[in-house]
Amino acid sequence: MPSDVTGRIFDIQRYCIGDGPGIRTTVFFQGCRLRCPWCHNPESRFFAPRVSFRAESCIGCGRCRMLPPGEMCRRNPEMRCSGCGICVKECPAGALTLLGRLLRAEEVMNVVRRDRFFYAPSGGMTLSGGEPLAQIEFALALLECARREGIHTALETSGAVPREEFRRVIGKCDLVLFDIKAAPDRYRELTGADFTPIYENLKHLSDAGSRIILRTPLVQQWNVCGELFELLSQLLELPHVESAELLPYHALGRGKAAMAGSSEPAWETMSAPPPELLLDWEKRLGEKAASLGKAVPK
Amino acid sequence: MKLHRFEYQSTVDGIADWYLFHDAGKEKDCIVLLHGHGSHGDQILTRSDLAPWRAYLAELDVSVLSPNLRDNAWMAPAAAADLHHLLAAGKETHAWRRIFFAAGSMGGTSALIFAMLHPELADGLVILGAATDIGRYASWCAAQPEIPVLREIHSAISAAYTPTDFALHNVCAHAGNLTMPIHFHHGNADAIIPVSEARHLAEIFHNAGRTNFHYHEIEGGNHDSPLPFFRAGLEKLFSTGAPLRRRNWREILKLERTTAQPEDPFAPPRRYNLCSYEQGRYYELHPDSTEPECIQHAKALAWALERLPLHFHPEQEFFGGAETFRADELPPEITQEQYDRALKAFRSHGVRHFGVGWSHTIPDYNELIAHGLGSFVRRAEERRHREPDNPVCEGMWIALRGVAAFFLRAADAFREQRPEAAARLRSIADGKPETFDEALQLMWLIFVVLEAEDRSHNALGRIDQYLYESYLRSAPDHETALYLFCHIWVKIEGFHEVTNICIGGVTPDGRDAVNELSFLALEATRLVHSASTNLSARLHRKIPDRFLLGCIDLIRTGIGFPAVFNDEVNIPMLTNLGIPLEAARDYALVGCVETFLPGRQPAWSDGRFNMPEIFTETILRLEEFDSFAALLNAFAAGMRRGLERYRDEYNRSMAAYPPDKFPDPLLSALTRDCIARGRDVNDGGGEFFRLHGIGMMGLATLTDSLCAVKKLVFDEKRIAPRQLVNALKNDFCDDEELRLTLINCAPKYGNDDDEADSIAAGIVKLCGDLTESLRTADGGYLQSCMASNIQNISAGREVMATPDGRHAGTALSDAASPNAGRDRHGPTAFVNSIVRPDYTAQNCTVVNMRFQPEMFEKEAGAERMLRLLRCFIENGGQEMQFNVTSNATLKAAMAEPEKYADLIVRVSGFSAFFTRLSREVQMDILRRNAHAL
Repeated sequence: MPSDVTGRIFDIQRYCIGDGPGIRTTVFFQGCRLRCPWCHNPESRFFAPRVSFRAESCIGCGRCRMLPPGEMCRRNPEMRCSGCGICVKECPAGALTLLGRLLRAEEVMNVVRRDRFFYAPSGGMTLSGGEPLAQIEFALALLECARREGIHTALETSGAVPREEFRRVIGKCDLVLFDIKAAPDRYRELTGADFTPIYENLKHLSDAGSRIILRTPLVQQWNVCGELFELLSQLLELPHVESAELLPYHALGRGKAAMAGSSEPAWETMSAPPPELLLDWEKRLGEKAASLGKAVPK
Repeated sequence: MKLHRFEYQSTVDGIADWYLFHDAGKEKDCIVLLHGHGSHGDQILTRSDLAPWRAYLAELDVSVLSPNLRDNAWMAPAAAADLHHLLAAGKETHAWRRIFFAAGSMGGTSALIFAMLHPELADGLVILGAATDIGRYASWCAAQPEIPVLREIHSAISAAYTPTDFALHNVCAHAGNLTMPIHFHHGNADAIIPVSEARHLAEIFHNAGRTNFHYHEIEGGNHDSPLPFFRAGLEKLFSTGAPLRRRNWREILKLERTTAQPEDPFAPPRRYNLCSYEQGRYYELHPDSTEPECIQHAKALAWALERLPLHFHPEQEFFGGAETFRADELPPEITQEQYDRALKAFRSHGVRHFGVGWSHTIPDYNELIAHGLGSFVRRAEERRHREPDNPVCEGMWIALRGVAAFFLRAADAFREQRPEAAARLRSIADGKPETFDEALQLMWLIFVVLEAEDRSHNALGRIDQYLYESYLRSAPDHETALYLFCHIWVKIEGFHEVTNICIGGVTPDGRDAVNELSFLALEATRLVHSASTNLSARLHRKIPDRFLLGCIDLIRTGIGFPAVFNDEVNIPMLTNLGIPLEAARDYALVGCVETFLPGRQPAWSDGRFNMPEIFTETILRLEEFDSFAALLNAFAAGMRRGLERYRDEYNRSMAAYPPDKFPDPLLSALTRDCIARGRDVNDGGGEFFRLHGIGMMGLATLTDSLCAVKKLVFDEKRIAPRQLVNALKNDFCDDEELRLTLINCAPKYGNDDDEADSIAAGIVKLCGDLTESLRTADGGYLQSCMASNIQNISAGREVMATPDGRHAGTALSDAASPNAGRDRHGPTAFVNSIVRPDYTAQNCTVVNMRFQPEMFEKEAGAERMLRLLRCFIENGGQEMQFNVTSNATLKAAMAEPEKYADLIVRVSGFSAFFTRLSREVQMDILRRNAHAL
């Protein structure tokens, strides 16, 4: 039964308004193989469960067997974190959050279903992460459960998964938010993955007739360049690619990374591109989309 | 036409500037010309392409003003202030009839901005190719670096404008201020200002159903193509300009706002009630009267109405207001001593007060507007003849005649000075109001007289229903109708209290009741922007989306109006009490949120009931209970005892106000069936029984406390009963860990959590069940209300610490809202929770919802909010009201995070609760939001 398939998530957020149309509930999958330095959900990179710790809230009661934040179990230092969540429940101060909770699809649906009333006319469920397709069985199970109940589905993916796995999701969701992270020849350097197989996945998705919206984070010092613009402009020509959304960099991931016990050295060198560039790209991509008879991004 | 150059110094910063002016003499129209980029204040003389303008202006008998306005400032605040100064002075000196603007390009943009900022100084606009959102246009210019002139315009705008000014001077965002006729021409191939600028504004007006905005798109036209339409536009303005002198409600508003700032900010404005004084004088002059109290009351009122001074400010459209009977200072002929003595006499003659049925009422406007005041007088007279021995009939008749005489006295007094207003007053003193403005004057003056009797917080009822027939009969254009509403709205501000206005809902036969007046009320509320016009929107399943979107547009401005009420709950609530369906469907709101049948019931009253205090008596005995159910039973028993005590005290206090000694002749005359029955409204005269509300305080304090006790003490046994009781007794002193456990480790109301929500629903049901049998001595009901006004703060002072982690003496939760800061799953979870209880046994519930303005921005934001409102209607919420949290509160949230835990900041792909983010990120958001301004 798809409802019994389990997977690891780090959050389910209701009333999400940036992850596809309408009011949505977004399921954030734990774990991603890419290593984009600007990641705004850095706590989601690891596949294993761990506990995020907000030092400002801690009252030092010691109920969690205080350890430096990380992967080791707070209750039993001999063990790695198993995701049992006991320390989180015990913490009186609400300083701990369990990342990588193991849930059955049905348990996720129980949350998704609660906002059914609000999804009309265009909202629904979005799978995000992390990389949802890195837990392909769980992703497929959730998509099937939602579809069976008539809930609109969107999938946000980097496309950086093996071709055979990627193809299994085609036709299984209503909208794909496909991340394009860098110009082709810098993809490996910036994200750790080659662009060619990603492109092939995108191409295949487009050929199969899936609705696609491209999404691109823009970090002035890292991935903003003429070649990236050219790439987006070309990809817009693919059938069923509806638009390209530009997401100027924001620093909201920083604190979360520290709380999850990881850090990145490059943050000081990151900022959003100047507004003129953003406006210019938006305008030109919008014109291109319009000339192709596609919707202009709002 | 002779244009002379005048030099002046700006009153803003003293810079030297100049304007050209042709003076046609007094009481003429004035045409204001504003130049665009690359031109100056003298363009009308220097530009050859404007020769046709010159020729046309020379034909006219009008004054012409062509200011230079800092050359390229594009109506930035300093330029707007300069022009305001010029025009206000000019209007004063030359008594201009009307001021028309005619301008193109950035001059057109400037004209739109100025008219939006100062609509009282702009009677019509001719706009020839202009930008309608200066910020958006500046960004657009910046994105076209290849066109030099756009680069210049961009740098000129950037030099004159700060980011804050962009928002304030955004014409599209404040389009509702542009109530004057506008003729807008734009070429659709304009490369300097894109046609989308014009279309945007045109669309806003189109959607708002505006009829005096005329948009003309010139097919293939460039930036200069609209220039020839200068003449046609002005000609149309001359021919359609309002013949009626429009009185400036903004002046009155300014006056009221100045009045409202006495030296002591806590002293009520206009503390003297001259009506009470005159009534007292009547009693003083008739010390030995043996007439029944109701006749003496009526005579005293009629006497006072004969003597109240008649104020009518030249800018007021309607007669009557707080100024009619209230004053900050006594008139010179009355000494303080005389006033005090008269007031003492007034008070000694059976004056009721709020708690026993006096204030918080609505007269029978349905009948009054449909048949006129005269029909009431005649009915009372007839009744009096039939029953000469019944003094109540006599009293009602005297009171009504006194009111009619007051109308006539005012009509006589203003016959010369204000002939239309005087004719209006004369007409409504007896006959049925024929026109919309007559109906408004009658509605308003009756409100004023009831307030003059020293009542407060009365309401206007279903204004869009009972006025609608006269509105259709008069068929005023949108602009005129709005203008009339605004004049009533500023008068409401004059009372500086809560005046409820009800719109929407269903008709007595169950159809959707929304009409043009419902929308006008929304528009007037936004324009006048008063805290007193407490607009209430009744919603139901078949309410049209466009009305909800209209409400949302107003809510988004942050004004907090309208509060929304659910017919699907309130109508069954009333029919459950035995009110017939048709009458129940005609309910309105009185005071803040109270359900009331206008003109068919005795006045509303209410009191407060401290539920958490009852709960603390129970919780101190926690060790005696072997189960959670046993604890609940003990609490319910405590509630029952407390409520019965409440009822007995209430009935005792009512018994001290017998209707024959404390009569209410005027309200009785204006309440259905009192005349027919010959009885006072407090003596069974009204069609329906009395309702008294018991404000049940601290729903969420109680819910969260019960949740914590259930889970942590009974289910998980994590906390020992004695430990909890001790901690509560000493206010968690030395046990912060326990307090945090209570806060963080148990479910909380407002999170769509089944356990917490069912406990809240259980408390609401308990209150409904326990009050079902509570009756007033005169056959009415004491009803449960999940409302606390702001007394949750004062009531909290008397309540010890509670198991929701609340410290002793701090505020209880607000009304029926979740505990501030404890709802952490966003607006959908919030709404799912608050619709969970069954409110059909509650008179009035108050749920406050706070959100970040960004969450409901733009069309998509409005659609999201629409879904929230639909859920509220469909799933049975009773009432909701909205607070828009401005970015400024983020700082407060950082200082006191506990209170702001529900504040959500959302960005693309990632969202978070503000207070749970690291300090560094909080700072980042704070900075980013400041930029967004």
